[in-house]
Amino acid sequence: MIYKVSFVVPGRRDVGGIQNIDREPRPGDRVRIGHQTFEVVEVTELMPPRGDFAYLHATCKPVEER
Amino acid sequence: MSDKEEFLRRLDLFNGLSDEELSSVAALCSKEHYKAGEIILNIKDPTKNFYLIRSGTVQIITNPEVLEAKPELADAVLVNLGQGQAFGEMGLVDRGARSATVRTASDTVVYAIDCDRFLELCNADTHLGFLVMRNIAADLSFKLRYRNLI
Repeated sequence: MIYKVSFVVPGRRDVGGIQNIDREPRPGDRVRIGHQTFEVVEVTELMPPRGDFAYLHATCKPVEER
Repeated sequence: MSDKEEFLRRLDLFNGLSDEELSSVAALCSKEHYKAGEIILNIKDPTKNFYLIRSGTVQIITNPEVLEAKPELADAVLVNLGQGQAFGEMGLVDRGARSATVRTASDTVVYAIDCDRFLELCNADTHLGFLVMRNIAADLSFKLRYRNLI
C-alpha cells in the first residue's frame, strides 16, 4: 500500500504539505517536513482507499530539537 | 520494468494502469533538475507541460508578488508538494494559463510531460485516458479536502 498523506501543522501554513510515503503514519511518529521535525498527533482518512493507494490526513505538532 | 516505470507505478495519478500503459507514459517523461529556490513555472504562463515530483519539495504560490515583497507572509504558499505528487495538471485538463507559480523548496527532480503529446496518448488509448483523468479528478478532490482542513 502507498499512503498519500497531507501533513498539517495547525497555525503553520508555511510547513506541511502532501507527499506519498510507504508506511502508514501513526500518532507519535516523527516526520521530517522541510527543515523541521514534527510529531504526528492524529491521523484520519481523507478519502476511501482505491487500488494500492490510501488517502490520509495527519495533524502534526513541532518537536523541539536539541 | 525500468526505474522510471517503477516510479510511475507508485503515483496515484497512474493508479490502475497496465505495465504496457505505464511504458507508454514513461516514454513521454523527461527528467529535469532544479536547485532550491528555482522557479519551475510562473503564474499566467501558457500551459506546456505537467510535472511529477521524483524527489524534493515544491511550493505552490498563488500570490508570488506578495511573497517576494514580504517573505513572512506564508499564506501566499497554497500548499507544499513532495515526492510522488503532480503539479500543472490543471493545465492538462483545461488548457488554461498557469494558476500559480511553482518554486522549489529544496533541490528537486521532476519528470516533465508535454500536455499535447500526453493528450494524444489519452485519445489513442481511451482506457489509459479514462483512468488518468479519473485519477486527476481524485487528486484535485484530495487537494480540495486538504485545503478545507488547513
